[in-house]
This record gives sequence, C-alpha cells and structure tokens, in this order.
Amino acid sequence: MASRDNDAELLPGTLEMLILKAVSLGPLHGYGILLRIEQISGGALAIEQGALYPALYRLQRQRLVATAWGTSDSNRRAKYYRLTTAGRKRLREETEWWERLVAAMGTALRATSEEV
Amino acid sequence: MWRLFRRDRFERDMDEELAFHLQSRIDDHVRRGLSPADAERRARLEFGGVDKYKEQIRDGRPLGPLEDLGRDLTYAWRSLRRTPVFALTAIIAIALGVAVNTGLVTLVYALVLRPLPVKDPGTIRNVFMATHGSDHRGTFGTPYVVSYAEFLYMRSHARTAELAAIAEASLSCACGMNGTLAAQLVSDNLLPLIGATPVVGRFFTPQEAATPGATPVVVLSWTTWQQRFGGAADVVGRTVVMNRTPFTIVGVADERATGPLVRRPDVWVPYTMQALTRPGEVLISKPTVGWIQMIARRKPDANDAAMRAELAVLGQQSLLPHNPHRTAIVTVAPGAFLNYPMIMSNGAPVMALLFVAVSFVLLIACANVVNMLLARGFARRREIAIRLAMGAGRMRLLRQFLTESALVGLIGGTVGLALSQIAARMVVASIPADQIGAHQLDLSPDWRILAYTLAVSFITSLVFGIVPALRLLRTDLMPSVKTDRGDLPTSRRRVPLQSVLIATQATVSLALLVNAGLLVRAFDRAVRMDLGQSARNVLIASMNLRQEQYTAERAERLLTDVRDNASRWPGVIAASMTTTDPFVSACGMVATTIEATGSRSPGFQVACDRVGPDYFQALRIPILRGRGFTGDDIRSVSAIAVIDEWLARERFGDRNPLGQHIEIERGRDLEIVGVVAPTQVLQLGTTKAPKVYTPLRGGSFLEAKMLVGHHGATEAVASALRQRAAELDPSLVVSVKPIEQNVSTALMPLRILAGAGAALGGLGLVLACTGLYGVVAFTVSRRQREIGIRVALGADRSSVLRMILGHGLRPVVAGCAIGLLLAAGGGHLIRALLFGVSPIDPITFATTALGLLGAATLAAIVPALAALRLDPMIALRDE
Repeated sequence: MASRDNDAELLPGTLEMLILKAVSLGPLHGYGILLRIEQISGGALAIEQGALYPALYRLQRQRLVATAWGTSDSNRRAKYYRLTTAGRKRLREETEWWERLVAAMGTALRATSEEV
Repeated sequence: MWRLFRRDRFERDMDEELAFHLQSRIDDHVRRGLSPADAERRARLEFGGVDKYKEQIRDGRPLGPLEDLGRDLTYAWRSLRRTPVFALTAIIAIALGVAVNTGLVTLVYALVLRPLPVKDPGTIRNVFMATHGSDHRGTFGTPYVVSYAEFLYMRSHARTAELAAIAEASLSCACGMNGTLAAQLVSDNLLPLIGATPVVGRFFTPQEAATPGATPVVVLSWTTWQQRFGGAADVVGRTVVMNRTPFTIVGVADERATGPLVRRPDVWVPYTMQALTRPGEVLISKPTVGWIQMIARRKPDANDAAMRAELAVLGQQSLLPHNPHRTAIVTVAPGAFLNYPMIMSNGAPVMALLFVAVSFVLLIACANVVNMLLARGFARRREIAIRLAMGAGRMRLLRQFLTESALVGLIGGTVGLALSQIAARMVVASIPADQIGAHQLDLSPDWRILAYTLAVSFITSLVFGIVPALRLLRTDLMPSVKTDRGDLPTSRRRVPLQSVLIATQATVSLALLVNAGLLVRAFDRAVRMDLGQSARNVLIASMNLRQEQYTAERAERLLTDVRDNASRWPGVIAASMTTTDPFVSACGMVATTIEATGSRSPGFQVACDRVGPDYFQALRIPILRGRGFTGDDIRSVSAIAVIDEWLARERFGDRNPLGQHIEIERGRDLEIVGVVAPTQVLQLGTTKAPKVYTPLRGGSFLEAKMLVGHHGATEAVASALRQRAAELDPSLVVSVKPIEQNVSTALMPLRILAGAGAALGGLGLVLACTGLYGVVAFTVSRRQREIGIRVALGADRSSVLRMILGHGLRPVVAGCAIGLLLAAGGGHLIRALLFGVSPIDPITFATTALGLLGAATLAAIVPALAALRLDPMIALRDE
C-alpha cells in the first residue's frame, strides 16, 4: 500500500479546488499552476510537486479543465490547462460549500460553555 | 494497432509534460544561483517519485473498452487463480448445471428442431395433413399421412412447392442384416429433392414411379452398396431379391444421402411398389387410407404463408372424390425429424417437466456459486474497501466482479457443453437398437446449441454474480478497512439472503430427489410386479410371413405344424400362437356386452389378443373358470371368447360370466367360455385394461408369433424351433427371442426415466450438500470469535453446538417443508409413470427428507465441531 503521502496533509479534495482556482485566472501549464498555488496560498500548502499531476489528469477526465499544447515563456512546448464551463460552476459550488463549512466550524469552535 | 499508438502518444505526452515541469524548476533554481547539478537534485526531490506519479496517472486513465475488458479479464483470471478451490468448485457446479440443461436441449433439438441432413435444408418443409369428419378413413403410421390419390392430386396442383412422397417399410432380404432391409418408399422426385446424386447408375424415372406394382427397381444407399455389395462398380443391373421378388438395381446414392427421416434407409424403392411391401394390405389402391408422408421443397418465389394457404386448399380438394365429409388440416412445418403437431403438443408437457428438472439442477448450482461468492466477498471486503477508498469507481468494481463471474460462467459453460455431449450420447446409446434402428440423430453442437449454451452460461453468471457484487459494493467502507480479518459485524439483512439461498437449495433438491425416488420405486415395483403371466422361460419366435408372400392358409399350416411338433418336445410345457408381442405390443378395441334379452351395454375399451391353442398354459395364466382354447376352437368357426377376471368382475359382478355374450367386432356375437387371471401391461401411463381373448384364425396367422413355454432349456428349444421351421421352409428367416427381452424393452422408458431422475436427483443432492457445507462452514468461521467468547465465558460446549446447528439447519428445515409440497405437486404430474406407487408415497418422502436433513446436519456439524475445538484464546486473539 502507498505510504502516507504529502498530499495527505491537504484535506481530501482541496488540491483539486486549488487547481481550479489557479486556472480560473487564465490558462496555465502544470508548473505555472504549481507556482500560482504557492503564490495564492502563501506557500502554506507544502505538497510534493508530482502529486499535482494525478490531480490534473483527474480534473481533465471530469472535463472540469481542458488542455491544449502551446509554447511557454521559455519557448518550450508545454501543456496548458484552462477552466471549462463545468469547471467554473464546480469551483463556484465548492467555494460556497467551503465558506459555509468554514463559517459553521468557526461558529462551533467559538461557542462558549453558556451557549452550549 | 490504433490502441497501441494511442497509448504511445499518451505516454509521450505525459513524459514531456513532467519533463517540462522538472526542467522549468531546474531553470528557476539555476536562476536563483544553484549549480545545475544541485538544481536538478533539488527539483527531483521536490517533485517526488516520477514513476510513482506516472503510475497514478496511468491508473486513473480511462481505457478503451477492449483494453478495459482485457484488463478486467486478466484481473479476474488472477483473482480466480488465487482462490483455486473456490474457482474449481464454482466451475464444476456451473458445468454440471449447464451440462444437464444443454444435454436435454441437445436431444430435443436433434429430434424436433434440427434442420434435416439434406442439401439446402432451409427451404425443405414437412407437410402434415390430418383429417377429421364422419367418413371412414384409415391411416398407417402417424395421423398426418395422405393416400396415394391425395398425394398425386396435391403434387400435380401445387405451385408454391414441389411435393415428394416418402414412407418406411422393412423388406425381407437374404442380403440384409438379420434378413431385413430398411426401405424408404419414395416418389421419383424425392431423392433429387433432398439433393442426393447417384454415384453409380441413376435414380428413378417418373415412369418407374407411376404405375402401381409395375417396376421392381431399387436404389441402394452408399452404405448398403459398400457393405452388402462390396462397392462393386457393376452393381447396376444386378438383381436383388426382396420380399421374394426380384428387384433390379438402377443406381447407388451418394454417401451423404441418408434420407429425410430419423432412420437411415438401406434402400429406396418406388412407392408404387407399396403393395409388395405389405402383401395383403394394399394401401396404394385405397384412396381413404393414408400412408404417405409429404416432404416439400419450397419454390424460390414462394413463402411459408403462401404454401400454407395453397396446400390447405389443395388438401381439402384432394379429399373431395372419396372423403367429402372430412376436413383437412394442413400444417407446414420446417423440415425436421419429429415435429408432427401431435408430438409437439403431447411432448411439450413432458419436455417442460424435464426442463424444470434440469433447470432445478442449474438453479441449485447457481445458488451454490452465489453462496460461495458471498462468502468469498466477505473475505475480500478489505480489498474492496481499499480500492474504493483509493478512488476506484463503484461501477468499475461492479464490472470487475461481473467479469469474474462471467469468466466462471464461461469456463463452466465450456466444460458443461463437453459434458452435455457425453450425457446426450449416453441417453441415445441406452436406447436399444431395435427401438431406434440405424438412426441419424445428429447430436453435435451447431451454432444454435453453442449460442444457447453461451447464453445460459452468461445469464447464469449474471444471475449468480450480480447479487453478491451489489451487496459488496453497497457496504460501508470504514469498518472493513479497520479490521484485519475483513469481517463485519453481522448486519441483520445479510443473514436472510444466505438463509433464503440455503432454503431454496433444500427446497429444489428435495423436490428433485423425491420425484427421482418415486420413479426409482416405480421401476422397482414394475420389475417385481406380479405380471399374472410368465415373464420367463417363454420363447417367442417371429417370422415375416406376410413379407415372405405367404397366404393365410400356408401360414396356418406352417405355424400349426411347428406348434404341434413343439408341444411334444421334452422340456416344453405348452406351445401356442399370438398376434401381440407379449408386453411390447397391445391391441385395443371397443366392446359391448349383450344380454339374453338382446339389450346392449354402452361400448367400453378392452385390450384384445388373438391366441392359439394352449395359450394360457404356455404363458402360465391360470384359468379360473370354464376353459381355454383348443385346436378345435381354432379350426372351427364357433363364436367364442375368453375374458379375464377384471372384465368378468367389472361387467358381470357376481353373475356367472360363462355363457354370457360380448361383441368386439361389429356383428360377431361371442359366447364367453372361460375366465382367466388378469395380466399386467408394462406400458407407461397405461392403467390395467380388461382383456378379451379370441381364437386365432384366418388372416391373423400372417401376423402371428409362436410362443413356447418351457422348463428352462432355452437354447435347445430355440434351435429346435429354428430347425423345424427350416425343415418346412428353408428360406424362411425365423428370429427367436426370450420373453425377458420383451420385458426389458417394455421397461426401457421407465428405466431411462428412473435413471435420468436418479442422476439428476443425485447431482442436485451433491450440489446442495457441498453448497450447504460451504455456507455453514463459512457462517461458523465468521462466528468463531463469538463462539470463543461464549466458551471462554463458560458456556456449555454442547449448548453452543446446538445453537450453531440450529442456526445452520433452520433454513434447511424450512426449505424441506416447502420442498415436500413441491415434490407432492411434481409427483402428481408424473403419476401416470408410477405403476401404482402413490405420488405422495410416504416412504419415499420420509426417507428423502430425512436423508437430506441428515446430509445437511453432517455438513453443519463438521465446521461447528472444528470451531468448538479451537482454543478460545486463539479465536479472541485473532483480531
């Protein structure tokens, strides 16, 4: 069985959410997505970089992202990912769900003994 | 090819994408001042195992349907290889279930459905014409035959099809096996119509099959040519004597021409020679006697509906000259051996019953496999939970399980197909040759049988595969992942399914077994039944006097001489003659009793026999009142009869039957001169029939057989009989057989049924017991921990044992109870075959039910004891 990978430090599904968020701002290649995630999460999410790719392929299979080969800034052939309509919808749903969860958790955790 | 190419591109793209990532990272690190070597090391470290991630990507990749199936099959194969005992038992169970099923279908298919062994069988049709109405009509053979006149009319008028005539006859010939040849009487167009070609000479010309009795010509079958004439090239033009008439050989048919009937013919003769084949019974000149079976070749521009419409009209018109008050019912059926409407309607219930029986065996086999899969599923729970947790789709796992079941079904089906071939051949081989002759039943599987087997196997595997698979997938994952043993806290819903399965198996196998037991008991009873007449130490001598062109007078002289002679031989009790072959053939008539006042009773059915002097002595039938027949009775014309006790009691009650009058042939008022003990018939489905014996006279001598009752010197009497007959007519072929052979022939159908029943029932029992054992063993093994705790807490071992047995056996008992009801229903359906054994025969029911329960208890007690012997601490620590 696989050992506990670094991606286990993410809540299940969060990596996919972050990828969707990263490509929602414009088409990116895999390495670009990594940089964008590091940037938007303030480097807080430490994952093995390779773990990004199985997740990317999964999203692609679910047709949440679309791919096309293009040329990178360094003038090399690279595979670019962009958000599909379905992907955009899923990102919106996931964001709402996440916000509700965070709000609920916040309320719950802040509750004092009187309120219980 | 395309798939490989696609996979290559997938791999290349993936490699390129990952390489791009690494290279970009390295570039970034170099830009920040690391040495290229350090940069690369760092980038690789940050990326993690490239191969591991590639594998993860590949795993998640959707596959082409074929590649997918291939992967599922490989996986299924590996998974079966890992559990060889399960795989083997499941495959054997399915193989046996499929074998009996396909075996039956193969037999039925060969008899009633398989296209005829002729050229281009697709446009060959059987044309059956039955008639009903008030005019007199006789038929010879099946009720679906037409007379010569009717055939000629229909053949000359039919536009949608070409009609050919065929009838079977046996001809006496010194050249044949046992002195007879199987002949097909045919119209001139039959051989060309079935696509036969002459290898030597020619077939019949229209002229040769046009004038009754005019042209004694014959076409040999290839086999006869080879075996009887040594394949001589100059055989055409030679003469062969059949029924004491010289026939000229005009040709030999090719090897593949075996005729359109079940029996292969040795020779073909024009149907216009019919009178010669049954001298004294000239059918061809009688327009109201049917004896011709019609085979049709549909014209290319016609269809079946048109044929039906046209032949219905022609059939009716063909009756008008001689049978105007009868209605013709014409059936056009695909060309096959035995698909007369009557067989199809009468045989259907028997076939349905048999089909239910074989389906029961398949059902038991299925239930077995379901149980094994369920048990195995529990063991695999952990594997499944992990795969689900890793993101495997439930649909994908379901497909995986079903592939596994389908693989078991397919292998089992293949083995079953092979077994069914053996079984079907054994059944056909068990029918003695004198019943079926040189048949040409083709039992080899053609595409229809293959498709049927494949469908049965697949449906079966789907049936047994889907329930356990769905059940497995429906489960909650977490508890399974957590426990090492992969067992689950027994949920309430799970137990009933297995119990239902066990109960079903018990029900079905009990019903099968009881009915098999009834048949076996019926056979036993039939064998030991008091037949009321001697079933041993009687010799039966038959000669084809009619075919040998004897006159009635000459036949009477010959038989009387042999009989009178044989009566004086040492060791002979009595010799006589009869027209019915004891136990094998029967004669039935409608009788009326006539009172002294002249009033007549309503007609009632009686069995009849025309017998010679000393008949009752020869067969050791006790004469209860009056007398039997003497030689004087045979020679005189006195109108007398002997009746049996059943008839006497049924018709005359306490009155003395002697001197009473009975009529069995219109206008022949017979005086009853004797009452004899009743005799049993050994025919399936026949109840005891009251019997009337009349003296053998006139034309009946042509049909008569000699009977010699003796004290056991079978060989001596047989050779003396042959010798005496040869002294009187050296060229007469006499066949002598002991009466035991008739008894065994008469019991053949029952023996086959009882054998098949016992085989099916036994198979069902073995399958049910192994299934039961497996399930109980598995249930107990799952409860080992509980048992351990109970024992550790000081529970009495015997009460624990009782508890386990109780749980294991409760569904069996319930199943048996339902099974007994089902069995009673089945017994009722086969009542006609039981020779008076009650369809709810308590002995059979009790022994079978107890036997099944005993086997089940044994199946439960072994694993239960094993569980109890286990050290409780081990069971507990096993967590």
